Amino acid sequence: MNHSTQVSLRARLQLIALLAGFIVLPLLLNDRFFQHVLTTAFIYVVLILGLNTVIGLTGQVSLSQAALYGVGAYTSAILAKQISLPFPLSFALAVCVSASLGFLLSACVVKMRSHYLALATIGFGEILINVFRSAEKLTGGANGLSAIPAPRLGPWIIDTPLRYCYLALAVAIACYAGMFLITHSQLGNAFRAVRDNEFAASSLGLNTVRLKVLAFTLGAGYAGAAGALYAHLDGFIGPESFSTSQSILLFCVLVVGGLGHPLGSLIGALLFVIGQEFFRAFSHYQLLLFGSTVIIVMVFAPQGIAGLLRSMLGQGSDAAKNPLQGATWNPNGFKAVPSGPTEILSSDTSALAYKNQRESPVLVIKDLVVRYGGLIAVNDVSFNVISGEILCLIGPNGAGKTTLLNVIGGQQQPAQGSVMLNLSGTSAASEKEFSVIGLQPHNLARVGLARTFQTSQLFSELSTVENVLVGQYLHRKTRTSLLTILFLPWIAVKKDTEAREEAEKWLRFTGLYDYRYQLAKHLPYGLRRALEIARCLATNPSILLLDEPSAGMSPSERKSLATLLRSISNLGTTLIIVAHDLDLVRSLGDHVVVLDHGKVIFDGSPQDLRDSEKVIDAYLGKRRTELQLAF
Amino acid sequence: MLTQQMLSGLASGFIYALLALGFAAVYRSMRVINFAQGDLFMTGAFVGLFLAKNLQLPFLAVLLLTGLILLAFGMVFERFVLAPASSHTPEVHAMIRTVGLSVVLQGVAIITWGTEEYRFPQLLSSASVSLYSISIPVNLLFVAGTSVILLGSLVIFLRHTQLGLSMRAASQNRLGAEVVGINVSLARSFAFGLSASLAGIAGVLIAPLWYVHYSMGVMMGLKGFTAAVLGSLGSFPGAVIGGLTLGVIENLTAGYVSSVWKDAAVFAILIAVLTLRPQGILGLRYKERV
Amino acid sequence: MDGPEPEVPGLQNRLQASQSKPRRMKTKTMKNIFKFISGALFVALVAIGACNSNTTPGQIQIGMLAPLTGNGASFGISQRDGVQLALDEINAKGGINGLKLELIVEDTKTEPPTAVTATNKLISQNKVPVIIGSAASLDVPAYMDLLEKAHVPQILPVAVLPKITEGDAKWTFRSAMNDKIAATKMAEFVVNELQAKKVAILLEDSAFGSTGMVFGERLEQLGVKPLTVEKFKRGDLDMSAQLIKIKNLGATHIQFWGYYADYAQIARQMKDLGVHAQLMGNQAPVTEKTIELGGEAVEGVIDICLFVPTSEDPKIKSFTDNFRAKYNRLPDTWAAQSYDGMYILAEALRQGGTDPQKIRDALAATKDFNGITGTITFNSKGDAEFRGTSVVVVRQGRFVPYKN
Repeated sequence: MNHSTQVSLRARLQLIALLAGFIVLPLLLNDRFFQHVLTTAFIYVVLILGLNTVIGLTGQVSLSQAALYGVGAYTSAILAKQISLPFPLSFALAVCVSASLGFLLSACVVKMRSHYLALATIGFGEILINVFRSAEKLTGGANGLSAIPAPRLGPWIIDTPLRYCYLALAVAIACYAGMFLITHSQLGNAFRAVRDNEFAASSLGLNTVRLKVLAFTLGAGYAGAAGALYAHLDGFIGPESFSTSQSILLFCVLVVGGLGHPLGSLIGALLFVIGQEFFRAFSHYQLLLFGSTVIIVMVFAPQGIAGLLRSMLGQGSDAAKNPLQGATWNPNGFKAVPSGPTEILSSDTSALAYKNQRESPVLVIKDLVVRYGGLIAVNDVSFNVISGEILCLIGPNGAGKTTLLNVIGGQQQPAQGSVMLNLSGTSAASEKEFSVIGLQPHNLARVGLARTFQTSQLFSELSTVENVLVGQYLHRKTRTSLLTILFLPWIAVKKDTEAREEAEKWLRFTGLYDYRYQLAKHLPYGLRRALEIARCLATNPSILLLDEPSAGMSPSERKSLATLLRSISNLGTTLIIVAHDLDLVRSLGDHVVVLDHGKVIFDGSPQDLRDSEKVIDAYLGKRRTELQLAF
Repeated sequence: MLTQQMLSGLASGFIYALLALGFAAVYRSMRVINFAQGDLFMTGAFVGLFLAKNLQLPFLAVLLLTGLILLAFGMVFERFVLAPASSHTPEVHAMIRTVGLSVVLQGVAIITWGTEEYRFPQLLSSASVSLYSISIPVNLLFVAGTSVILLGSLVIFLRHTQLGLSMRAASQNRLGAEVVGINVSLARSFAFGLSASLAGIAGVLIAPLWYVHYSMGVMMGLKGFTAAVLGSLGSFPGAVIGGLTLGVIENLTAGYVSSVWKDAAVFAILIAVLTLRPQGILGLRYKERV
Repeated sequence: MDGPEPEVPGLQNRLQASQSKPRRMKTKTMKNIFKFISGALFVALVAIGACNSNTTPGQIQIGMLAPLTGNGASFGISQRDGVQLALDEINAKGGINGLKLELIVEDTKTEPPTAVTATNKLISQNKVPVIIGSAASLDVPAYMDLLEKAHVPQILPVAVLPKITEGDAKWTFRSAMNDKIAATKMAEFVVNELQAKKVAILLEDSAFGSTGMVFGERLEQLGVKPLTVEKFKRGDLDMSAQLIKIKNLGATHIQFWGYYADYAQIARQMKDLGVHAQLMGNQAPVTEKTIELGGEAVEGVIDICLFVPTSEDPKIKSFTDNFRAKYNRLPDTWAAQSYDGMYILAEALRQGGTDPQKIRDALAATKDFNGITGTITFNSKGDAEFRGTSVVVVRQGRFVPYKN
């Protein structure tokens, strides 16, 4: 503990030294031309940071950044020229105009897949450039806008390269700090979740559309800021600086620098601008060099230079502390966790009190019919689920279990029938019952429905704890808004800490605490399944749907799973499990529903199941002896 | 005048169709948008230029040779740069590599030929045929004819040859194709190479009508993609329909509205289609991954 | 808002996990990376500084901005070659006031932002007292203000854009022919010499092409109303729509205003589409590239410029021969204009030394300079006033003077 605070102090000193270096550098150089180069570098930092928000953080490949940059530049230039607006105002307006256009653009393209989105953004960019070229009275047309006045900040006029350098540096530092805060906050985590697996993110309650639009708008705002800085730099701007080729260039710079963490944007921008100056003599070779770099980086180091540096300088050290070699999720390891599920259960009486409310049905399924073209997958299915019970949904292959689960979970719409959720027994606030069908995907978690899927839907580039944090995101108490993150960072950090604590509690509960810093994609199979469950738990579900949770697990893992599921049930959560594993059904199930060819052929307790002829026939034909033995 | 405008639009239309076919081929087989398609078009034009001017080969030879060279290049690129991307990283990564390729191709063109414009030798007659006061350059007829032949050959190839069948199988179900012994990586490489080849041939076809320049591919690539999406991304007949439609619309806009907004009109179409009817004219939808 | 947010009571509270102090996100390695980067950056910048070129005593350094790459390349290269020929001649005769001249050339790549950076470099790093400005008309408005602020004069031997000398610039002098003069003269030629009645105008949609409107206005003043004004974008490869429209209107003459590549392309498409009209152009197409790209199609097109290499004038012939000896090709009008421009500058240097202010004043005082492209006097706007221009036509792949 002491060690980490010491490191933190050293890190802070280094950071201050670095900042001081940047601040002193323009003075040191004492050459107009180099100061100009440095200023351009700082402007690019802001520009690429914005692009990173869109592409690196939320995975939306936008190729309109240069056009939005142009919007900011023209806005600030025109305002300064026509109505002599002082720089802080023209800057702010440039940011607003760019952000608004970004917002509009995003609203149109947000639902598109990555390649369509890229091309749609190109289209918008080209149209914007056409506007720059055509609106001659306003923008000077193809000739560009010249005689743009120097920025005026109150009494100061920024008319020397040195002053401009500092202006740009100040803006760049502010933008970088902002992006840093965002990236390390829960919001940043949510962004990355959307990038890694949008489907899973929305199943955990994240409004992915809103998040993507937010990121896009943010990126556009940054572009506007960079544009405003650029416009007054040389007193001239022309439409060719904002072309699609420029956007593609910016994209390449970002990729080479490193997608994701703002550090990549910083590195990319600085290297690019300075490299361009350095290699001026070889400008002929610039494109070739550049394109080759992109390909080489993508093939050998897709995380970019920042990623390379990070792995070289040992970022994996946290993960290294808890090696995954031969990690399995075994009962012994499970019990070794100090506050394991057994402790939790015994100490809390309210859990048991809650369980007494058992009798109210929390889910009422009536006359459900699902069709795939001519095939009827779910045929007139009706049953009730009692609050707090463990329901096992079983049946032969192709019986329609997963389809049924999809409808209950809201991922699929039935042709007929209803699924009514009744949480009136749970909290004073929500007395009514409402239909699951027709709910938007991200609202399902908000009403207390969580589920796991047959194929693992983890956020592969996020660590274990970060995965669980995504589940935590929907709780307003610990969530922070963008404004809080940027302007009241201490509050944001406090809330993030609380959220983290919650997440870690769930990790302990599911026996994953030791692996919390591992990237999800490195986890072995059993742990991945456990992580999915942990992540669902973080959303505080009333009902947890599990689709074949024990599939692919070793026998010891299955035992751990059973214990875990029982503990979850003891917390009061209703479980609906699609299962093939009859042992699991036997040990856990309070209530069993058997499907065959889409119809319910049995609905009752496991004990009664034993004797049911229909079920035995459905599974095994007439080989009742073996089935009787199984039960 | 309307007819003449439409006919002129068809010239670019056929070129867009060829480019769109390339997009469709790549998309069908690997769900990747080949950002370098336009620049492969440009490279084909330059390769053709070299063959025609420096080696003084006849036009048909230039056409075939360019097609083959680009086929080989495309296959090699796919094999060594794109294929490794598919298994571990998201599809975006493959797209980024094609962006890199696009930049590299332009860079190489600049180094080799500089930034100036080049005249493509007129190997075919530069005469025009006159029909009811409508003038049709012979070159245009050649472009149209060749495109139709190419399309026909493509259809035959995909339906009736082993390799074509393998390509279609591999694009629909990679694992299944592998299990039955289809060399999936070869099929994919070939798909990309084919796409590059189509782009290159388009470049050689149109170069005599225009001039050759390192940046001639940028716009063409975008318009080719628009044509592909307009028709129905991934569909071959759609690519052709989309290409011809786009060419005609573009020319009509230039003729009756304003030539300055010609490009913007194309992009407006692109955005409209992507937003309102992403399945394009033919309304086909290829199964997307979740 | 969205759906209700039920809180299952105490679900969180039931976890009595031991409180562990939350870990901050790892910032240590980030700081290491920062250190690494800043160090590398510093080294790089110092290295760039080291590559700085220093002034050599005993020489006058002249800065030159030229588009050596990009679509202005043919003009930039002509400019450089013309200037260099003149410079070498001057140096061979002993230089200026005993000092040799040295040219520092920066490529603007026909990109205004690059031109701006290049200008900055010339002014701040090389500290040249005077600049020979870019041949690309679009570059010039971008960096002109920098020169005004830094008090460094420039001479433009090639850039024809009228806008350049329509402002308040005091430090810019143009020895090329203002495109408006060209437009006016062309209009007069079309009406008087060619007696054309049905004229269409096809101009590039930009500030450069808009001078074509001046042509149209002069045409109207002389009693001929243009049939239509069509526009195209520079670099557009397909102008068939506009040409079809023009053909439909029955135009006998088409006046073009734009760059050479589009000119050549239009000429070719006119042939393809059967548009039987006389194509005429502005100054910019008067370059080898037009003939190279247009081939047979540009046979017989008419343009306007300041210089034709096939003139019999001994001064012109001597220049042409020297140029051909040095560069193995015939000079075009731009090379000739640049040659003259260098000599005008030399005269100003002789009077003004290396003081930018004095050079500027000397340039402003230029009167009746007799060059191979005409007699040049700068007016109060820094623009050249000429006597006489040449109208040229392409015959057998060369620009020759138009003879009726």
